Amino acid sequence: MLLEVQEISKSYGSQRVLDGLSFTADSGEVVGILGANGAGKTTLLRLVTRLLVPDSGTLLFDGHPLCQDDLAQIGYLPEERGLYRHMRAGEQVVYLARLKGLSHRDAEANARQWFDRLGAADWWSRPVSRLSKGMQQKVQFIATVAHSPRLLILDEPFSGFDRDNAALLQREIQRLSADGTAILLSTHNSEAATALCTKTVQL
Amino acid sequence: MKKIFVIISREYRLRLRRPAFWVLTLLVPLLLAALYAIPVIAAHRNAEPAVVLLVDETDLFRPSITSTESVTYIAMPTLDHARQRLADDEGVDAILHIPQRQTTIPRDAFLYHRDGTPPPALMRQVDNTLQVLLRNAVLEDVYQVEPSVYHSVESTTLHLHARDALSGRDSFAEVKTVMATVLAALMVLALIVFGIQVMRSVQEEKATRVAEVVASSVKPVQLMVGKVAGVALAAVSQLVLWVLLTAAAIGLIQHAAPTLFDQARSQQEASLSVATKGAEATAQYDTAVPLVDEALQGLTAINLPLVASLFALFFLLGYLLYGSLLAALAARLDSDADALQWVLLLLSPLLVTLLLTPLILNAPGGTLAAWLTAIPFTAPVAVLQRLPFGIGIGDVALAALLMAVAFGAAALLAARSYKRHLVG
Repeated sequence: MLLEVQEISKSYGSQRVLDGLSFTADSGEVVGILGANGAGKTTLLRLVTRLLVPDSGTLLFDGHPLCQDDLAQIGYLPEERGLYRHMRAGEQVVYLARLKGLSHRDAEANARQWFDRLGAADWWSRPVSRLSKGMQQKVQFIATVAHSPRLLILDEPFSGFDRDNAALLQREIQRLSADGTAILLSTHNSEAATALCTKTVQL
Repeated sequence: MKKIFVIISREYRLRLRRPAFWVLTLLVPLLLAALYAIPVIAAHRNAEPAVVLLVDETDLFRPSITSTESVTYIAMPTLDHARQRLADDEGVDAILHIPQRQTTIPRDAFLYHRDGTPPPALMRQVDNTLQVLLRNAVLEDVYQVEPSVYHSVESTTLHLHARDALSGRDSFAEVKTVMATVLAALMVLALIVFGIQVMRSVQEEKATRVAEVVASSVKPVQLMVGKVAGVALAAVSQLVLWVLLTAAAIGLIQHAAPTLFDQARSQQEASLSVATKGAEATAQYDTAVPLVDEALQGLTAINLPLVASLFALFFLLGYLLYGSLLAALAARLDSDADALQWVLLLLSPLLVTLLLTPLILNAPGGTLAAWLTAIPFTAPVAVLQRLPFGIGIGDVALAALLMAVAFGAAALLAARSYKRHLVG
């Protein structure tokens, strides 16, 4: 099992957001994280990326407690997108992939492959500030997958995409899943969730 | 470590790629070179002597006043004649009127200038001329003393030298005081300028929400150290470029117009004798030269490579400490409106130490100086204030060690603040 969430709890002050949550995600599985606003979806995803620390419970990655080194094998697309506005799109993806431990050469090769695949090759040298919001969303998605993560965490990945690009993204998620990537998918898009998820976790 | 280098590289390259970096890098040396050259060029342009009409109703000054390189005096019989000439002749700059004296010694003189307010340099030169001539007249008429004799007596002075009891070498206290003050001010300025750069960088990451993505890849402390070091590298590059480009620009200016600067040098020397003549001028020049010599000797006596090295070390440590704290502050604050007050509060130890300069220089080895050297927040300034006067290696090592420890703690604090307030 790639990811095991065991009896995880998390509170903000007196407000308990997650209470003894458990589930697993194996390679190739797409796990839908569903729930109303404020149910704790983003909190759960931030716990898996070690941005937050659980009050209790255990997170296992590949059979051992999740540690800092495991982050190199995790890709995270946060709900609130963020890119350096003055960096070129390609350079930014390479930078973020290098922070995941890739060499410059591998990072650039992977990034160029993804830019080609998503029809974004022309944007490589453009500063992010000159890209439309939809383009930036695509670049952010490429930055999330360029280091070939084993576990992909997508928080509302379809927000900001038009219908065509949402469909393109959905196909890529399916392809990644078919290639063996485990995916945690938090979305309000029930159509996409039904089409993509092999199982769901209701919060 | 590899990830920290990746962050350093990004921060460094990003800054070097910004047009503002290169505009500032080129502009500052040009400004400094201009500051150096403009007074010389201006002095050269004003080399044309001012023409002053002299109306001396006392008959005390007219017989002995003589024109100089910068002022030509033309005697006129009455003020009305002089006014008429000033109105008719564009080449005349001013009228110097010394009214009929009511007492033995004249008390007032008036300079009527064509453009309302005479240039300060002309005022000074005319004033000097009048003072010397009046003094000479009083010496001769009232006290029957030859002015040259008087000046010989006046220029006979005793110069008290401060010397180190053990080595017997001159202390050059004045030179060291100036140097300590300048070094401390430079340190505060550099720490504020480059510390604010780190702060702005964190604010940008917070505003664009990139921090959440980056923090899911690296430890917050790695992010902080990489960011602070990257900006430091850019800052050091800019400082080095400023020094090299300023030296090159000044060298080019001197090479392009060597006669201009030679003239300026000789004019400066000649200006010492503007209102004096013969032995008196020589004597004044002779007393000025030792002052310049003393400053140069003082600088030679100071171990400049050591001062430069310690300046670099304490700038780096101070920058790392304050850069980290400013980064933590930037992560903590939600609005720019609060930022200035908190920044001032955070930087207040540096500013207070700068304000305490007179007390520290009064006793560079005293208790206050020792405490300020040991406290990491004040050490970058206090060490430099004490440095020209000699500071023990133990004090320097302790200050550096405590600053390094403080930086470690500040980086951890900043990292925690970063994690909690940017992405938490």
